[in-house]
Amino acid sequence: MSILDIFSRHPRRDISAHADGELAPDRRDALEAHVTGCERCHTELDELLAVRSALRDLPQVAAPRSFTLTPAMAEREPAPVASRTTPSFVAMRIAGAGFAAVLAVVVMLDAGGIVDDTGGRSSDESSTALFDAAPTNRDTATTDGSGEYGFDAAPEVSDGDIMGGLAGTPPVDDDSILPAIGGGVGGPYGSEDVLDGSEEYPTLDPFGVWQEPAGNTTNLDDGARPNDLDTGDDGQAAAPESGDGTPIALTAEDDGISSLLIIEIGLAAIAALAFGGSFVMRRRAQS
Amino acid sequence: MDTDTPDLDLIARARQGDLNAFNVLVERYQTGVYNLCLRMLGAPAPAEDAAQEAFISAYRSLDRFRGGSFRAWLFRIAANACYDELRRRKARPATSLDRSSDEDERPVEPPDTAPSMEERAANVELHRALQDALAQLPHEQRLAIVLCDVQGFDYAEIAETMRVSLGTVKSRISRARSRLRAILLEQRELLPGFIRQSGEEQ
Repeated sequence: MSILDIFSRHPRRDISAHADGELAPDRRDALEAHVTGCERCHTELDELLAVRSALRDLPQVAAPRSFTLTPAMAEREPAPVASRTTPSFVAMRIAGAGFAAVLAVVVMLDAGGIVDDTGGRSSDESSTALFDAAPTNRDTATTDGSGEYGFDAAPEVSDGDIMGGLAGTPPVDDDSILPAIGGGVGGPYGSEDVLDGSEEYPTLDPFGVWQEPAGNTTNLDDGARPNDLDTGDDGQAAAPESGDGTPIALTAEDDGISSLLIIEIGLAAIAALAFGGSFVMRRRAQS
Repeated sequence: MDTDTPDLDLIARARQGDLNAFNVLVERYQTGVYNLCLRMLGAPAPAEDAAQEAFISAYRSLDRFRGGSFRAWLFRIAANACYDELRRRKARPATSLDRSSDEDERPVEPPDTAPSMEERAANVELHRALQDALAQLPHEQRLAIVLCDVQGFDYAEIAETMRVSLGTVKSRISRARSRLRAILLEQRELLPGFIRQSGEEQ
């Protein structure tokens, strides 16, 4: 960037520094050239000089008395000036510590929930229940594609106690909002209608992240969380299948929980930084 | 004791318990410290208290002085005393806002040497307007502009006093001046002719 580029806009900070004679020679020359051709900056420089002149004309007021120290003053306890801790400062630190503690508890609770959910998912019974539920839901959905879908699907999946903690945000298809109702009532799921890859039911959930390549399905059975979700360029993805070719229901809840966890950890980190920052500020103020 | 004795010599003596040596420093800087407090706090009584606290604190903290500009170090202590007072005011808004009812909050009316009554009155009004405008600035900007334009510090000494970079000093002074200009332009009748004319042209 050339020196001229610096002054392509009105250099307010440099105008003020120029009024104080604090600009380096190269910047001063460039500024003077700019001000000569810029009426706005020329006016601003004149006005800032006038403000500066008015402030400098403020008279120095004589001290109303001498501030020399008496021996008693010199032996006095440390003055309040040395103490930078104020009630508001203490309150800020306490609030920061409390906020960090609450976030830490929330994060730990969430972490526990994920472990439980993963364990539940890894059980054969649960997996079976999920896989059993999928055709049922699919059948229901493809039969009429109506509101029955959501309400029918939810109890079956919830009986299997699959990913219960991860429920709450069912996928939304092109039909209606009803799957969301199903997810809200019974937790999971209603998402199984997308697993057959049929034209009637789009495979893309609201987040576009739920599918997993077929090759990863064994990992799911092992209890692993579905990562590396495969989404095509068009937002559509191949429906994941289990080892025997049965479609697997994967939803965005896993990813949603991960995001939540990340956000909470981030907030906890911010709170910790704020707490640490207040401590550092206090130490610096005392120095 | 010679009043021309360098600061560092007086500091060395004061560190050894020579209170008279420190009081030479007090007399050397008390007008500047008091005026800094006066412009920061806007009233004589709290400025007087802050200045006295600053000198007491400086004496008790002399061992922490690591060299450099004693004036910058002393004014930093004074600025901290002012910040403490401003924080106390913020914690007691009922008393700080009701300035007219507080006898200690006498307005700043510096002595005036203007030759005529009209000019004298105009200067008094301008000085009041400036003090009110200073009071509207954020504390850091107020300190920077007071150190620069009232105390006559250069940017390097302001940076040392405020413990910030030169760029930050430059920015704070620029913002303070721009804000003062905007505030004062709302009271053009009080301003020096040049500002008044340029403001009317806009």
